[in-house]
Amino acid sequence: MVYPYLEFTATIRRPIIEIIIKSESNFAIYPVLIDSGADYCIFNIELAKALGIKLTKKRTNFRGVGKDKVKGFWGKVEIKIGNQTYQTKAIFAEISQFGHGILGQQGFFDHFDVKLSYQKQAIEIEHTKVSN
Amino acid sequence: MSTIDMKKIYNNKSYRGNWVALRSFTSDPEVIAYAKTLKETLKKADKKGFQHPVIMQIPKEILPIIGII
Repeated sequence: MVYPYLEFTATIRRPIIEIIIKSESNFAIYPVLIDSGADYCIFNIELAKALGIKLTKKRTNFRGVGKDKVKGFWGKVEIKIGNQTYQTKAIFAEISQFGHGILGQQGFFDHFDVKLSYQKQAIEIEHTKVSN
Repeated sequence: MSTIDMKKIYNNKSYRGNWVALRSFTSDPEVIAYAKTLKETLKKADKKGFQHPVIMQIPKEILPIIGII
């Protein structure tokens, strides 16, 4: 599967793809940043509310390059990328400063090989996860 | 490969801080509805006949990302 980059300003272009996030009763089409520096997938908490995704009561903390920890909640979702559908755990948090979610190592890179070409403005994704 | 151009949408002050529903993820995406909350945005899009649009929240400021959060 090959996707184009998203262009936000003359100098800001990001490897973002659209995925489908499914709950038991609903689904949404949501753009997500491919971020090899993220340990987990992180989605906007409003998405969990809109789709009726059950979240853990206990908060989990995570950290970026900033000083402060950010709080989120774990939820189980089904993700569809291209023609691949799988279940995973993801963090739902208040991330309104981004317009998009984040695909990290667990829940994305453990399922796909990725090649990013800034020169071609292309994102190549190959499904690699072998079912147990 | 042609990029998906979000500049028009990100530069539109009406959308800043709001959720937007896009008709599709094409090279020139079109906003079909927007609102403060995701639920309200989906409701507006649904009324226009789009049950499952692409949804995203437009940040109040466009800043470079150098790592999450």
